[in-house]
Amino acid sequence: MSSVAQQEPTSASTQFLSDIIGKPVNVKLHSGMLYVGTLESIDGFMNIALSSATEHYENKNNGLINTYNSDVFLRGTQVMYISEV
Amino acid sequence: MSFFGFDPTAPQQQSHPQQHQHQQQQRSQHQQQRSQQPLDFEDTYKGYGDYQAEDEDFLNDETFGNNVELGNNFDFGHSQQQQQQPQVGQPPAAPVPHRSYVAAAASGTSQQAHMDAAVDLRPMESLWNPNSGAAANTAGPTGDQAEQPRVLSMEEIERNQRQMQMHPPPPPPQGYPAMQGYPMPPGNFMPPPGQNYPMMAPPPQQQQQHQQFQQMRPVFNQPNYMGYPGNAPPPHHQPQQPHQPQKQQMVAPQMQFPPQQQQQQQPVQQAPEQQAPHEQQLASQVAMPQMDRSSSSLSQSSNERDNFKGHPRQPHQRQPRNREPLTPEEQKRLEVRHAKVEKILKHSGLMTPRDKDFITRYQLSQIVTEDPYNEDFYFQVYKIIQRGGVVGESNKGLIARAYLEHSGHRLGGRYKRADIALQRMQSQVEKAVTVAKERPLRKQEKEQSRENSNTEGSNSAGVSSAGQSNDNRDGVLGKISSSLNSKAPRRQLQIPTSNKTLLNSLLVNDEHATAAKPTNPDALMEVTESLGNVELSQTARVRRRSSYAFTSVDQSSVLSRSGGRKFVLSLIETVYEEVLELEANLRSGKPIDNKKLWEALHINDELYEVCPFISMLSFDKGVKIMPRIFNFLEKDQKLKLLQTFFSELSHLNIIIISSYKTNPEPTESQLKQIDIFQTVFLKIIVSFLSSSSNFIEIMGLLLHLIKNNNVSFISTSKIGLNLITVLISRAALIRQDTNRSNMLSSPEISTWNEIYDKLFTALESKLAAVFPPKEYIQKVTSVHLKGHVAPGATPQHYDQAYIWQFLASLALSGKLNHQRIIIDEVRDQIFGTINEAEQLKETAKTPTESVDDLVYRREKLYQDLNLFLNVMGLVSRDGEISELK
Amino acid sequence: MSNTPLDLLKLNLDERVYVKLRGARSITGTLQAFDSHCNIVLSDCTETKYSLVDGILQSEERESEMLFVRGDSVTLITTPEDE
Repeated sequence: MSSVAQQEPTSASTQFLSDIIGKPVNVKLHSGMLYVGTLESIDGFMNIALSSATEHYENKNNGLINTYNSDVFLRGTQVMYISEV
Repeated sequence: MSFFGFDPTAPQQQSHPQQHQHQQQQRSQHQQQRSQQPLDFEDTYKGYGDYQAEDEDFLNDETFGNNVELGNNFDFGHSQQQQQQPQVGQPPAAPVPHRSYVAAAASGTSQQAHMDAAVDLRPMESLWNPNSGAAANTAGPTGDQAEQPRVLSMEEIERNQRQMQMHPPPPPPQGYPAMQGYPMPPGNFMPPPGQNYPMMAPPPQQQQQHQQFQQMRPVFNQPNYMGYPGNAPPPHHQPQQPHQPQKQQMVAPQMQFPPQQQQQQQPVQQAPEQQAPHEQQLASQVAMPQMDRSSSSLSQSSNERDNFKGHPRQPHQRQPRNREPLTPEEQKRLEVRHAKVEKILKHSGLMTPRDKDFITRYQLSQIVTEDPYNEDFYFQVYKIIQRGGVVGESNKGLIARAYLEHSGHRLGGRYKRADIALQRMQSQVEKAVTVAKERPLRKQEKEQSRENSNTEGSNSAGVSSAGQSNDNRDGVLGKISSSLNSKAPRRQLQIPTSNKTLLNSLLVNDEHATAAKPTNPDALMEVTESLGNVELSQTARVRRRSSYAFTSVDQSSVLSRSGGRKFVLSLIETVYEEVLELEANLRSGKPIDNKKLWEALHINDELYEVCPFISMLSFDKGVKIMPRIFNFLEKDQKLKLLQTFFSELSHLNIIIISSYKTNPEPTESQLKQIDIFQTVFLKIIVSFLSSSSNFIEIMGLLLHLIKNNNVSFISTSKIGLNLITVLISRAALIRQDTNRSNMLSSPEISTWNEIYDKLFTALESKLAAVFPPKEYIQKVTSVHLKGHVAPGATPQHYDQAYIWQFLASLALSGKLNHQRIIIDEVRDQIFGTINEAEQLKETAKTPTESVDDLVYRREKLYQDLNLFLNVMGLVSRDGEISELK
Repeated sequence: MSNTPLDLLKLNLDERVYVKLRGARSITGTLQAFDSHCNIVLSDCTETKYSLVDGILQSEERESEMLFVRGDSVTLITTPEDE
């Protein structure tokens, strides 16, 4: 990546995003929906693809709303955060 | 229809030589002429005559401006009249009716034929020789001058022109309201540049044309449409001026189609402006034969042409001659104008209103069609022309057939939306049955009766029929109401079993009566080996075979065995990319290398339990791309692909969902999927088999199917049964063909017999199971009914034709004992079908069913059943089965 | 093969998809086209609107032949479970 100082954070976040591919993640949307699943892929728009995802509201403890057997595409603009489980 | 019979001869009837040059007499003569006109247009175009008087109107000039010479010339019939009697000064706008084809044919004289040829040749020339148009153009002016002294009309015309300039005509109304109902707008008359018409009229000229159209409307167009109530011109034909909005209008409804179809539709949508010339091409091509009829057509036509060119329109000869002479400039302008008009006229009158109506319908139907390629009449005809190169007799026949098919004659109009792939298969089966029926087999019949006496003892069931005509089928089918004395052609009957060898030796049979020959087990291997790449990779097949049949309807189980859904989907994406690239290369003329595409198909991939290619066919998009894939495959690749396909048929998702056993309650989307598969993939197979495969290859495919699959399971699915039918009916056809030329070697024949035996053994005792149970049929029809039924469509009924086709081809390839077994097993269904048909005879039970419907369904049931029964020389009608006569 | 989320979405072309929208709505239909904004064209769609009436979840359905869905409101796309 670039050696320019101000691009360091970008580089770090890119690093993070590529590191967690294939790992179980939490994805929270602005709406408050929480998706837990395996990160299949992610791009610079924060578009996210999860496999074997489950859907919850706010907190995993709030109960399961849905289970998705196939890949789930989450639109980047709706994503608030993504974290490794 | 008069599409092919547009009649340029009508003017001929108006020949009146005495009209020569005496302009003062013209009016009275014209009256005379009118009274003598055959007027048969009254029959075809009602109301035409109502407008006749208008054409005589002296005030026309004032009303429309007096460049009437052009206006008259746009009267299609009239122009031809002038061609044919170049020296006759024509009265203004004597309308010439377009006669019907029938009328023309009835009254046609040889002279007329000459005229036909002469007239027809002109558009022909422009069609085949693009230079002729230009040549005509340059020839025009000289011709005019040459004719001038004789006709003395030029100056008057010039004067008229000037007069018109002094009294400019009213501007053409916006949107050409006068032209409503006229299906060929000015835009069409001025064809796109670069087509057959090297020159286009400049804008000012067009204004005149508008006038002409205005004038023409009363004499020509409107009456025609009055003759065809209910055939009002479609909206997109009306005002032609605003082309853009019009297109948008047409595009809008398209949004209903998914994008893929939309793409296909697009070119069609844009076509209308170009269709007029196209149509004329068609028409003129069809006109060719007429030319052939006349011996001197060529020379005559050139004369005619000169006359045509050189002879200006003379509608204004009645005008006073005291005008000042024309300046050379004006003269020149006039000549140019004439040349242009000439060009326009060249193609006028080629189409009758009915033809135009026909075109209109096609343009409309193409907007809504779901199968744009096959329903595109223009494309079909274009294909024929492309293939044939020159229009010959055979081409003509093909074009005519395309026309007939598209006009719905074949299928009775309303039942037109039949499945095209199935149609082809059906015709294949029918053809095979017909060939079998045609064989005169009296001798075999005698043999059979002898043999019957042997087997009579086995007649256990059914009512035995009268006395000596005791056919062995009686036992199986019950009463057969005919006698053996009938000389009905019947399929040869062979009795291969050993105890009948004596009888067999008596059979005077054609070459393939090989039944008595001892079958050589090595022959199968021999031929199989000669298939080359047919050999199975045993390990892989065994592994796969273990998992066949009765897979769950759930796609994922099959998909997981070929790499998973995602993997298969990504393969499909890759295939699409490759195909798109190859297509792009094809368009840009780059070399085509299908290696990557072939790899993307994973045909040879043995990493997975189920070939990924088979799994690709689980998706509609995987099926839909197949025709485009086939465009880029070599023959051996196609063969390999089909071998894989037939080997792994049991894994094919479509087989699983189309079998009543594995999927007793198909959903609407599944039925749709089945339809797509049938129309797309089955069609590919049928065309591959019928165009490029030989007997050994077909046997190889069948062998692949039999060896690697549970045939009886596959036969419970509609698709599976169709696939088997395609193979064995094709093989039967080849056998019939080659019987005459004795092309099949005996090992081939014995191999075939062996393969057939294998197939038969696999199906034996399960033949009745090819008929889906009632519940399944009810389910399917109810889903169909629930689904959006096109307006005007009849209620859906489960079409069992494919089953009878299968049984027919199976019986066709089998020997007598096979046929007996088949009949025995499906006897209940035979009688069931007859009963069903007879019940339909009684009046309609529900108010929704029309009598026509019932009659059609009844006919259909008999027709389907008879396809099978005919193979055995039987026919069923009116509740009875009898010998085929 | 690059595997961005949108590449994976591409695999669903011509397949049935379930699209979750903002405002408690969802659409099931055949994916005809999409772009990077998640503007989506769907055919043979069923639109479902969920609402709470007196604390009870209710849904209302609507069929359309073809829909263009503006990307703004899309939150999630996946393969429908049933069908």
